[in-house]
Amino acid sequence: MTLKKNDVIPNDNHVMRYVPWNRLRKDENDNVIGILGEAFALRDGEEGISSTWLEYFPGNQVSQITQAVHKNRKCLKVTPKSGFAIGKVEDILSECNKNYKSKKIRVVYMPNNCNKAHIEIKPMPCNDALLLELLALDVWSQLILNRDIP
Amino acid sequence: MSTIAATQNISFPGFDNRSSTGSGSEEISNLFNKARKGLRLVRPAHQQYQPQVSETLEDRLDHTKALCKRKTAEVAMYLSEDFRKGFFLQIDNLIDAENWEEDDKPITEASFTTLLRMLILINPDLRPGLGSTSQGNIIAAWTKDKDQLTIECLPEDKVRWVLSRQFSGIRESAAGEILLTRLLAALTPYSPGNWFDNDPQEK
Amino acid sequence: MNNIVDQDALKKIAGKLNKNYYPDKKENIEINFSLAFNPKDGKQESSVQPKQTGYRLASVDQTEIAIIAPQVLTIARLAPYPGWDKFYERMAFVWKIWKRIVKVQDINRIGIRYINRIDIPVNEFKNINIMDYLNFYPNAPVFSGFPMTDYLIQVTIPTPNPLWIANITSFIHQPPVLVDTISLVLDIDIYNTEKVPLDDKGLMSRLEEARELKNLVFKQCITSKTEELFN
Repeated sequence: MTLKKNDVIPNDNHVMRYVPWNRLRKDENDNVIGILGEAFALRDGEEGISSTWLEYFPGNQVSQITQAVHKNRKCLKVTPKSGFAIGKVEDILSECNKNYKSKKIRVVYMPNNCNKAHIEIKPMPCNDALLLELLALDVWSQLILNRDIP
Repeated sequence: MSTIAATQNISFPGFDNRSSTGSGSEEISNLFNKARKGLRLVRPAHQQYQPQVSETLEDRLDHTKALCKRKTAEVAMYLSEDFRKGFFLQIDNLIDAENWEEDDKPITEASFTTLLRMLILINPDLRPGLGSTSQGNIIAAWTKDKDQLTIECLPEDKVRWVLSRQFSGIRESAAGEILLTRLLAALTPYSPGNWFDNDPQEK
Repeated sequence: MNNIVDQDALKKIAGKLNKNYYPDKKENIEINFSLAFNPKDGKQESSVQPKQTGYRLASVDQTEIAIIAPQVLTIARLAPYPGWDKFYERMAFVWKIWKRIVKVQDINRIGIRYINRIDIPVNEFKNINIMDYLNFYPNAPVFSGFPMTDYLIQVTIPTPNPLWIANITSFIHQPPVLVDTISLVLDIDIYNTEKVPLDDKGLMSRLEEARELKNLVFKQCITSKTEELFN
C-alpha cells in the first residue's frame, strides 16, 4: 500500500513503538512483565507519539516486526534491554477518542530521512495518567523484547 | 521551654552577640555567626567533599546511583537486609548507562527522597518494580495478575498514582495526584494489600 | 597529621584501598575544614586549612567511606551498622595501608564521631517536647506562646579522661526523614589532641577509650523514651 505524507494509516493496520528499559513494567526482580504508561508520555515539545508502521514492510507479521526492529536500530539508539510495543490502529483511536471527543486523534504517515515507515499519533492529549495506563494495558499490549530479535 | 514544632519554615534562633562578655566572647560570637550562616561545624566525612560536575553520561549516572544509595542509608534501619540488597540491585539495573535513554534526566534526589519516604510509610512486603520518566522522576510499580498499581514519585512528597483492579471480573481504574500523607487513604478502597503483602489473605 | 603526604603516596594508598574494600573511587576531591576550640583555654586548636585535594573512596553500596588527603585520614560507616568490631577491623586495615606507604611523624588529632538521628513520631499538634527525648536541649525564653521551629546547640566539654574532649552538637534534621516525624540529631565527637601515640597498639587502644567515652556521653544525653525508640 502506498501512502503520502500526512495520510491516515488504515484502521486494521499495526504500529510499533520503541519502549526503553526504564519504561518497561518489571517485577521486584527486574523480570519484564509489561509496559508502563509512561512509555506513551510526550516529552516537552512533542505533539504526538512517534512509532513505526508495520504494514509498510513486506511479508508476514513476524517478518514485518523483525524489519521494523532493524529499522529502529538504525534510526534510534536501541538499548539491549529495551522492548517494542505493538498496537492496532483502530484500538488506539478508540481508546484515545473515547475520552477526548473534542480533539480527534489521528494516526498519520510521517516518513523521515531515516525511517520511511515512521508515523505519528496526534494530537495526543496532555499526559493523562489514566489514558496512558490504558494504552499500556489494553491497546499496545503486545510486547517484543529487543534481545529476542536477532 | 523546649517544645519544637514540625514545620516547613526554618527560622533560626536569634543570638544576641552584644550581651557576650569576657575574653572568649569574640571567638564565640564569630562561631555563632558562622552557624547562623548555615555552616554545620565540621561536616561528617561523607559530606566533606564537592563532587566534580562531569560531562559524561556514565559519570552522571554513577553519581546518581551513589546518591541514591547514600539516601537509602539514611533510612536503612527501617528496611530489612533482604529488601535493601534487592533494592540496590534494582537501582543498579535502572540507573545503568548501557540502557539509559540519553535524553532522560537522571533520577532526581527530590524524587528519590519521596520514593524512600513512601516505601517506609507503606512498608510493603514486596518491593515494587522500578522505572523512570524523562524528567527524572522515579516510578514504583506493583503488579499482581491483572491488577496494577503505578506510582510516580514527584518532589516534595507528591505522588501521581494510577491503578487498575479487577473486582468480580469487572475492571476498575482510577488515578490521582496527592500528597504522600494521603496515599494510603486514597488507595484503601482498592485493597492495596493485594499488591503490598506477601499473603493478602492473612492480613 | 602534621606531616604532609604527597600526591604520589596518596595515589598509592588510594590504589590499595580501591582494590580491597572501596571500589568506588573519586579523585581530586576538595576537602574543607572548620575551626575547633580547646575548651580549657578558648584558643583555636587547629587553624582553618586551605582546601586540600585528595580521594574519596566508597564501597559499592556506599556504606563504607574512606577519605584521604595530605593531612587527613577519615574512615566512615553509614547505616546499617555492622557493629564496633567490624568497624574497628576496617579502621585497623586502612591505618596499616597508610603506614606502609607513609612515614608517620606526628598525629595532632584523633577522634571518633557518632552522628545519631532520633526519629520521633509527632502528635496531633505536630510538635514534641525535646526534654522528653534528650537531656541536652535549648532552653529558650517564652515570649510568644509558639513553639520554636529550629535550633542548633553545641557544647565542648572535657571528659573524665583528661586526654579526651567531647564536642556535642544537637539540631533538627531538616527536612524530617520520615513522614509525620521530627528528626533530632545528636552528634557526639570525642577527640584527643595531646600525646597521640604513633605505635599501632597505643593508637588503637586510644580509640577504644574514645568509644567507651562516647557510650558514656551518649547514655547521658538520651532519655529512657529515646532508648525505647531505638529498641
